[in-house]
Amino acid sequence: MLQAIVSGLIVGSIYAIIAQGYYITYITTRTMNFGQGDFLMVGSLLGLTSLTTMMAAGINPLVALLITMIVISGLTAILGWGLERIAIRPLNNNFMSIAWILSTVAVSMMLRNIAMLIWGRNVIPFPSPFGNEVLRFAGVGITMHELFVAVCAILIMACLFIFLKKSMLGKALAAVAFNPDAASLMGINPRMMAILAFALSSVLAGIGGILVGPITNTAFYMGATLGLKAFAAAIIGGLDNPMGILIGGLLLGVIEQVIALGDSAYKDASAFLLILLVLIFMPQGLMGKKVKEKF
Amino acid sequence: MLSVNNLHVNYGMAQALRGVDLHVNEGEIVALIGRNGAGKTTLLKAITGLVKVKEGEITYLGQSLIGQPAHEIMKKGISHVPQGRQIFGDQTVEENLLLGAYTQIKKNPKQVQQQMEREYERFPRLKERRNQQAGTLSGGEQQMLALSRALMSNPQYLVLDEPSMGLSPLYVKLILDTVSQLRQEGKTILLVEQIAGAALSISDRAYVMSSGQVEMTGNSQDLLHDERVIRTYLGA
Repeated sequence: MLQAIVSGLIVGSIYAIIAQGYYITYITTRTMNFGQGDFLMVGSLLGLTSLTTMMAAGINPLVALLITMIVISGLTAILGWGLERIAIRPLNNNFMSIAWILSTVAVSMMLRNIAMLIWGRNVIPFPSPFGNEVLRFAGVGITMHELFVAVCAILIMACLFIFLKKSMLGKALAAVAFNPDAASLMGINPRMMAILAFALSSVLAGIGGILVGPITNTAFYMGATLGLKAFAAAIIGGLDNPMGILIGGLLLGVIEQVIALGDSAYKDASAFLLILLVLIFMPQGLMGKKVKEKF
Repeated sequence: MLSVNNLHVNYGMAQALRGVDLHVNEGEIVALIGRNGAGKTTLLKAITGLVKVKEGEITYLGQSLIGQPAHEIMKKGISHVPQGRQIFGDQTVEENLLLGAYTQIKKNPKQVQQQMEREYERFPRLKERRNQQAGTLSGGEQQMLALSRALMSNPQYLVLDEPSMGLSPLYVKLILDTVSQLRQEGKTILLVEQIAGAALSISDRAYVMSSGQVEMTGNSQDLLHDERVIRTYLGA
């Protein structure tokens, strides 16, 4: 049981990282990248290629991993910028326009098919640069890679929270989210903020891909379920609350793993059952803002 | 300093401004008065780049502002206090003020700090509430914050849209006294105000707008005694 909880927390922290991407674009532009899962897949497959190429060239695995994370962050940031420019901005001029849902799904399908052409249809194992060694603490086994995921998740979350709450750029993002017109009167460029939000969101997906790769292995279709589960984490936690999303992600990860102890066939179903229950009883999510309409 | 020539703005099929001409000289307070829907707010929004201009010209210090986005126009030294205050309610008073100096905080952090101290001197209430969420302030305090936030970038030119809206008489006096004081600090001010009498008494010149056009213009003191203005806008 304790083992399931620890594994759940590890997987859940990855859901939370990906889901923060939904939060950032949602608060800034009221739109989301429904292809977030496929951006993760791109990060994972590119990461795998970059890592194995560098390791084959004899570069130290840890150095190779660090370089890979930097390169993938850059590439996914460019991908995010492109997505905002092509699939969001041209369609987001009309009030209540929901065309961005289809356009982001379309981009994700393109990415999925391109990935299939490049990397093939089969599952590709993603060897962890930390090897397969299992550490034991109080009867709970944890791989070095899982430990690395936990450390990365804590670091990423801490940086993200500091960025959003303390930095001037984070305050500007929040200002655009609150009132784009008033923010532009302060000299803040709402379009730049939208680009920043999508770039940041894509980087989170890309890094999530590198982290999750050795746990799930990689394939061109891996993004669909992971993206959906991260979305579930965001909805469960409350789409406008980064702390809620973190808790939502961890909760989802733990519940999945605990249910899988009984029968792993119910693992995925449990995630979506949870989202149904939360939506029925707390439609704003566990920690989302309650909005009451005045009539 | 600022001149508007033959300005036309449409909202879809509706004509909000129909050939407006206006100019504001350096150091002046110019008031815009008129009924709801006369086009006053639209005119201010057109000047600061928040609405698209269909036809006409707006120049500031000899440069055209047409087609420039709001965040660029602001950098030229024009600050707009929008109608309804539009403060960032989920951020603190101090964060709101810092956002007002967003374009300068990296270049001149010391100067921004000094400006913030000046604003706290101007409105000590804001200093008392510096760590409070702005959305929880009273209407009068929010207006002080909106005004101070606009001043944080130390603009030359201020565009104020109904700063007294919804305020108690005490706050109305405080805000309008502050506007007069700002002129003494060297600011040029374009003021839209529902309380026509107050607007005319603190301004040098005024424009009376109706149905998207300038109906009358002149010296504020003259307009204050104009029979048509008294009948229509001063309620006498």
